[in-house]
Amino acid sequence: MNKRTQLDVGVVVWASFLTACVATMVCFAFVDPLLIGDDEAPPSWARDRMTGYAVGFFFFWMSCALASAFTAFLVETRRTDGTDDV
Amino acid sequence: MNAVLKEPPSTGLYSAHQKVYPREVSGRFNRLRVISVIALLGVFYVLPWIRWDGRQAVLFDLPARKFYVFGLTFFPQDFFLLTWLLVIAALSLFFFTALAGRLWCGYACPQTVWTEIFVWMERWTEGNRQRRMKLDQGPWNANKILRKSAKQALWIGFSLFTGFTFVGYFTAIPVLAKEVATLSLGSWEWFWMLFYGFATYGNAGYMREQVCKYMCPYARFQSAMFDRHTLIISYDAARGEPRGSRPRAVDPRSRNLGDCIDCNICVQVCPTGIDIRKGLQLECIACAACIDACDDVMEKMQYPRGLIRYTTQAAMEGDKTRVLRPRTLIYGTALVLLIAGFFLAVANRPLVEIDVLRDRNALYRRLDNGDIENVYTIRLVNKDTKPHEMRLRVEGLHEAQLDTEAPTYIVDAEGIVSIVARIRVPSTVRGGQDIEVIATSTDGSGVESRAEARFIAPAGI
Ligand code: SF4
Ligand code: SF4
Repeated sequence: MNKRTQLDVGVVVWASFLTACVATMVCFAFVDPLLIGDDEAPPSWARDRMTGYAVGFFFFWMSCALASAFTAFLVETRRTDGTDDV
Repeated sequence: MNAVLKEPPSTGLYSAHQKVYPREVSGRFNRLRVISVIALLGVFYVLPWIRWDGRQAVLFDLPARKFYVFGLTFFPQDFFLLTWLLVIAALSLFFFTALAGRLWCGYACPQTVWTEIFVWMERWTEGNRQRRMKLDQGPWNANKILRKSAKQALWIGFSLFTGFTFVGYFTAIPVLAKEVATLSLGSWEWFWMLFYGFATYGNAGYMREQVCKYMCPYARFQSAMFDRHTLIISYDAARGEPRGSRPRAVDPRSRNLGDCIDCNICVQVCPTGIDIRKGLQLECIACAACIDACDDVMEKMQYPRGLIRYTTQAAMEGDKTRVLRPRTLIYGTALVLLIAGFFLAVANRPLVEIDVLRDRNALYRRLDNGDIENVYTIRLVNKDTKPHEMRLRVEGLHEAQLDTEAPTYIVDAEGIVSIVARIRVPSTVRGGQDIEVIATSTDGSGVESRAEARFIAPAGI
């Protein structure tokens, strides 16, 4: 990995971390992880609330990181032959 | 990008990182920062231990979904208050940035505050700048191993304590302390304690100014709030140049020199490793270390202080600095209104909150006598520290009746009650109707709270 890629990875991980923190907060302010789903019992991945929050957080982090990485990839690999006036 | 700031050369962002060894500094602004560091960290480490009404004064009980802040209890339903608070925080940042530049960065940002403490620990164990540089270059002898491990021990211990305190905002801290003592923490407590501790260790011990340069969003957009009247830290080039060394007794003018003796001390004290004499740069966190350092030199040379000083672009160009200007007035007014509104909203929070949810399974039901019935789940959340006895009724629809299993419900202090309520109307009602469900206390405390809902009847004939 060259220096530039390393920095991109850092930025992707960090930016998605920040966004995931906000998303987790907003999401679980409205949703109780124990009450997700249709039946009366809590979903299997959220046996207790702390686990529910954590699973939610890592889910958001992964999703945001994916979007962030995709963006970085498209930005870094766009045409640089001068036909794009950026 | 604002004209005040010089853009760093674009290659600079990706150049190899050089370790910065900030030189120790003393003076007015450093004293201010020491006070600020002690006050802010003091609050952070002490707050979870303060008790209020027999429980922890500030506790965010995530498993129970309750948030205690001194005498007040908040529920997830109060989320808009938190959003409001964040908007206030953002606007204060705008306001103070427009007024006084990166005041936040230099004195209050957790990154600065924790870095400062970590630098102190580095100094206690490895000595001053010269010694630290020599130690890093020197061979791994007994002295180096001893000093480095002493530093690591301090850093790691302090980081763990920080992580512990952080978790203590979410788990009752006396219980947590016992669990730590007996090593019986829950897995999430372990995880977050180590996670936060490690983040502190990495950010304050190693990343330091790189957090400001590469990671901080504020550092990137703060220049948008700057204008000619914003307080900045600046080198007075007109007075300082041409720079050059000279013996103390010599009058600089006789040698055609400015007041800068080119001692480079302002560069050595800079925690971000920049030279303020090159103009205001994006990396400058306005810590004022270079002011203190330069004032010291000026005093030794018996020149007037303030070759580097807090000033504004307008002042540097010979204009008057205006504190009151549209930008600060708008930010300031909005800020005052928002803060006042926030306190009003907190003070007027209903003590018992009501939530109404229509039954998802059936739109409506026709009873034997032709009446139309909708079923609702009603949640009463008692935010008070006393229990309340509540009765429900419906308004907004003529002849509508609300039926519950029991005539009244007792909601425990900080408790939640879920009630199934049936609302009935005569068969003549058609279509969707807006109704209001009202919970009133029957215990004479005068608590009342309302929620809007929809009643669905069959569409027109
Ligand atoms: S640049 Fe960002 S991280 Fe650095 S001191 Fe300022 S606000 Fe804090
Ligand atoms: S240039 Fe001066 S004020 Fe800016 S970061 Fe460096 S020492 Fe602090």
